Amino acid sequence: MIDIRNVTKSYSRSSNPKQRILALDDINLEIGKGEFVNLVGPSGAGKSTLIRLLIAEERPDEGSILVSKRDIARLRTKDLPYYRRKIGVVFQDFKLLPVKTVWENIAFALEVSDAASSDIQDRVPKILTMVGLGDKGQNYPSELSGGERQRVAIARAMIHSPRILIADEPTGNLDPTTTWEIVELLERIHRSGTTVILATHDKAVVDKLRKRVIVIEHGRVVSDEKIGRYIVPGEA
Amino acid sequence: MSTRGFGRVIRLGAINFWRNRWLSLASVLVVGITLFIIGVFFIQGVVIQNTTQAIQDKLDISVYFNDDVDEQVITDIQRSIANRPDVKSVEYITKEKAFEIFQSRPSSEKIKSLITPEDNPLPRSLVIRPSSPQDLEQLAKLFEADRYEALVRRVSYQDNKNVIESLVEASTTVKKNGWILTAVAIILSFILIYNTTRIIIVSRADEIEIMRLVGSTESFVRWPFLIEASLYGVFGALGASGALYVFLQYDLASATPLLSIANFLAPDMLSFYVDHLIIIIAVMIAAGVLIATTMSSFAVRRFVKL
Repeated sequence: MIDIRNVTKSYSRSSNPKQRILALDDINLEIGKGEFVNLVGPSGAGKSTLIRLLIAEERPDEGSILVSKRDIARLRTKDLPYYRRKIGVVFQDFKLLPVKTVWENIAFALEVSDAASSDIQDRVPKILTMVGLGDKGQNYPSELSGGERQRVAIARAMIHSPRILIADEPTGNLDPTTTWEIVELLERIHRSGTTVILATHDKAVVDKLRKRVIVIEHGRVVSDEKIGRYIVPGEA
Repeated sequence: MSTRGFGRVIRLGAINFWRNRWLSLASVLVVGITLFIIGVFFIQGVVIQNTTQAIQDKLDISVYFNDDVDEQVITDIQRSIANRPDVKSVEYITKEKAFEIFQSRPSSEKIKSLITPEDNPLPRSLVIRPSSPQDLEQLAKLFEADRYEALVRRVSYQDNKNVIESLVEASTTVKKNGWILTAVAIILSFILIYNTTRIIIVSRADEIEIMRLVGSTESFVRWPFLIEASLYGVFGALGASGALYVFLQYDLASATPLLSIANFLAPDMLSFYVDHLIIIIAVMIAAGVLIATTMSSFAVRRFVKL
């Protein structure tokens, strides 16, 4: 499903543009169809960079990222929107449009992909029910709790029925109880056949899920276990 | 973009126009003021042109000759005057012709009967039409020369002189002021619309990012901004059209000397405006949309990185 080969990415230091900081150093990863993968590691380890490469926000300096056998590192700019409609993405800060209602936020993802209005009318209520917000369609994001907002974001990410859901610290802003609700929702999405990539700091979540754990540190994969626990090398 | 997609970007643009209504209002006002200024000077220019033309066509100098002057002398003068570059035409009015003209005038039969072909006191004359109104005076002065003193009974042109001169002066001033004010207004509206769009784009950076992340194509991000700008143009044009009407109807021209030098033309301007209402509004809308979308697309190209 996803095949990351020899990916290297560096940034120039803002104080000294000539000096490069290596964010990812020759990463190799393979993620199979229908897998649930935890991406863990301390801040600045390279998790976010990897996520940005996966959603084609940035391109690697070297290497290739094959998603469904297509190298997204070489996508043309005009093809980016079509790739993004095939993946679902959830962020720590939700990234909902504040001036749109819950319904409009979700419908928007369909509108931009030129879906028929009847299709939108049909799919939005179903996905809202799936994330447990069937009665919140007309609310604005500011009227919802953090957990509810993240559900809206997940609903929006899933509205295209993507085969891959990428969640970047989705529980980072949530309290423990809400965290478990979101994790449960992600598991449910996974059980329905979607490949889920979860980047997280949350040790408890990772340990409870008992799924594959990839540990990234200093831009390298330092551990990759089928049924892993949250281990930061040096701490174990 | 599909028709459905186009419908959606129009709706998005309209919603954004309303949700940013204060910024929109500022842009609408600037476009409106620009179009208003252009409109005033355009209409004024056309009306001055028409009036000048109309008066110019009627404009002539009549040189009346004493009855004892030999006809040969008059036709010689006619020939020499006709060759001057500042003269459009010279017509010789004989006594018979003068009689015909007199009889054709709307006056009472009693007055008409005072003059008969046999007893005709009407003088012969040369009717000189100048090439341009400015030439009028110098042509008239020709006949003040000594050699004409014994020949010429009277030279008449004074009647229209003041009107002509003020028209000539007005049209020159109006053209000059018109260009300057129009240029200033267009530049101002460019700057303001550019900045308005920039402010909107910056304030919606998050929104644009989210649009991209959920798979918006470039045009789906950009078009709503153009729609929004078009609305500035449309509303600005409608506002300017209304303001123009009020301006002309209530003769506000006399209160704003910078805008209108020839304020005595206001009634003509109003009737021109009313007669050409639809075409004027259509042109205003087209111009407004053009001005607003041009600047907006500059700002969008500059600030929306996709």
